[in-house]
Amino acid sequence: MSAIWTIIGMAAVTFATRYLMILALGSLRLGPGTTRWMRLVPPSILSALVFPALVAPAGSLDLSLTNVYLLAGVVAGLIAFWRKNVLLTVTAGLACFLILNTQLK
Amino acid sequence: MAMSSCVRVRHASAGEALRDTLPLLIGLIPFGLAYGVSSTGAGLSLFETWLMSAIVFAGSSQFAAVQLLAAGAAPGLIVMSALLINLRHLLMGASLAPYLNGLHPRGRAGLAFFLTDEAYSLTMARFLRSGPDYRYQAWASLSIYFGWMATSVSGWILGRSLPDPMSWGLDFAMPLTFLGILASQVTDRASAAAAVTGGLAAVVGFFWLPGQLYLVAAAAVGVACGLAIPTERPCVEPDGREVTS
Repeated sequence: MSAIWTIIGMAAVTFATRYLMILALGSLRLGPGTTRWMRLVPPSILSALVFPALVAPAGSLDLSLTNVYLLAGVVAGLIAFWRKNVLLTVTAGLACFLILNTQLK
Repeated sequence: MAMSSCVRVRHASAGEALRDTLPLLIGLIPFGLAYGVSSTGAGLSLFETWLMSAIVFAGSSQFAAVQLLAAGAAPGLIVMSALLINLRHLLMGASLAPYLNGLHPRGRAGLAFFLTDEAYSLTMARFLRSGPDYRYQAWASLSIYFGWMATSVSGWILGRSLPDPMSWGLDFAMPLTFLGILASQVTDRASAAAAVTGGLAAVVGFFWLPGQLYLVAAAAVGVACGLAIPTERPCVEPDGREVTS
């Protein structure tokens, strides 16, 4: 039951982030400083989600060559920045992960 | 049919929008499955798993939520982390807003509800190319919405019926998707600095800060470091002015 209220709360704040600017803009003006600040939030948060998932997939730091998440993640990262293609990044990263996983087992 | 106006507005067919969305939908499959599978680990019912996809409809925050639920985190913390993870929508909304001004408020709220990283990138590219096209945005958004619900539910069933579906690397689909999106967000030295310092700060904070606080700390560090780097990259303000920040 409490999970349902958590989900409803999440839905409310998520919709707020999606709708706020669409609702406000037109009457509200943003200075260049604000725009610049906001532009930096997505790359900061996205890499904050990615880095720990790669270096600590099981919750503790693992920088060894047996950490398949880190190895496949580095390969996927190179492909991501080279081609700027989400689908290619996901497929190549998963393929790399599965191959390494069977090799290292 | 007579030309009724001097401004030619070309509306996309549903097929055109769906064709553009298809590659992203394929990328969404492992991500949706991973969310569904991990929701079984958090003890969510099939209904709760579906409900979150249907009314929250934001992959990364749903993923974070089921991991927090599994760890027994307080509801307030889960809602707060959803807010933090989804703050990037503010930016997407800000840049889309001028294009949606011609739309009925209810339509704007509707399109806002379905705003995702994927729909945003498709729609914005399209709008910049050939002007606003609400139908295009609606079709792209809806196909992602139904694809997301279908893969979430399938993931839950998979999680219940197979011994260890995560060994296929499904949980790896989330960081991979973010890596792919991150690559397109890093456009200059300031955003590169934000990404690198934000990521490193997250690793440190991940071990030293309680709960999901490391996300807030990392975002603050990343933004601060990014702001310290002067950029020459011109950026277009929502009102159309081009400025160099």
